[in-house]
Amino acid sequence: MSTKEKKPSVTLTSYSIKAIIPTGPYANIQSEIIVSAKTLDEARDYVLPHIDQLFETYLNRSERRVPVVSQTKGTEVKPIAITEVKSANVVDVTVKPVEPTVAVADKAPENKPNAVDKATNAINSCLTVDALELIAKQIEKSVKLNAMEKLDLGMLVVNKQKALSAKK
Amino acid sequence: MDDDIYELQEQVPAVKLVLPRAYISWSQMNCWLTNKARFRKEYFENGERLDTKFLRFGKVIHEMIENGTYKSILPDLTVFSTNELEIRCDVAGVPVLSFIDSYDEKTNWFRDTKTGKIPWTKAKVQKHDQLLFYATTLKWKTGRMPERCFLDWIETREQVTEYGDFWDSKKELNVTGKIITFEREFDEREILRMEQLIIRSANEISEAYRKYIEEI
Repeated sequence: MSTKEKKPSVTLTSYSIKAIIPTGPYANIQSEIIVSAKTLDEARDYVLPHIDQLFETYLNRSERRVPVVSQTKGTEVKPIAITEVKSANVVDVTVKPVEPTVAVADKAPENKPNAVDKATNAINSCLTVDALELIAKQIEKSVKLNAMEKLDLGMLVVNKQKALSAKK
Repeated sequence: MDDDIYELQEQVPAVKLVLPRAYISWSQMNCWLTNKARFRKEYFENGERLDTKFLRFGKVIHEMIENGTYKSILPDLTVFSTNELEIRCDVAGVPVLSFIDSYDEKTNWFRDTKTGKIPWTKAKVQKHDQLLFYATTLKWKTGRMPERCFLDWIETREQVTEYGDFWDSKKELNVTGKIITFEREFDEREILRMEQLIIRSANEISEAYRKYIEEI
């Protein structure tokens, strides 16, 4: 006896994720990636890495420290090359990292774990809404935290906010 | 009192206070003034609070006074009608919290209890700013400056208790029954000094806290 295959009643026509990425004070970029795919998982797996890449590249870009490069005679620093690969609906931004020919005076901050710990401890220990607001603002503009860390800390802030409101 | 408030208000800064707790307490202020590194660890970084068996013992005695069971071990201890009085008030714009061990509403006097091996002295009581802190909060809460307070020192001693064989013994802390009471009077000028110290400490803590948050 054969069993009839049930046809899916819903067809995925398009899947989009919109990301608003703060690039600095009163500035942001809003990118939307729209794809069509057979399943939600496929669409999500394709889109999310691009969104992450955009965050990595553009988040608080105007506030990031620029490495101080001391130049000696006869040398030059190569500029960063940016290429855009466009398809009908997908924007793909590739950034080629620069290979400095001279010593970089300012190294990238090595204290990322400390910033996360500091933020977590600050959130957990504060008992006032004013302090929590200040901490939340600082997390948003911090250059020591990446996008995922900020998202995680954001959740901690929300939970703490609820806890403080419940106490009132 | 009006002149004093005017003088204090000149010191209250325009920048809003941001404090790790919603108030300043004696423990916070004393920690800030004596050990800023420990303050940072305990109040900014969610570190462990100082905890010793002597502090825990003192806490137990305070609980016994609060619930009335102290009479079995300290029958000679004098307590007032209200115990563990919580005071929340503003001292010239600074939110303050204090817990007074024992308080008499009629006279506006209070008592503070200390436990320890080393006896207190009149000079030590006079210099002990915690009593001045409490007097200041009482003044701002009730509108009346307390004329005097009492500090009751309860002597403690560690004794070895054996639970069977000689190696099965433990050092235990206990009261000896000896109590020495000191009386301390207050002066308007020293209350004003404490008010200024509270404001200054709150401002410093707020500034340090903002800087700490900016390090994130």
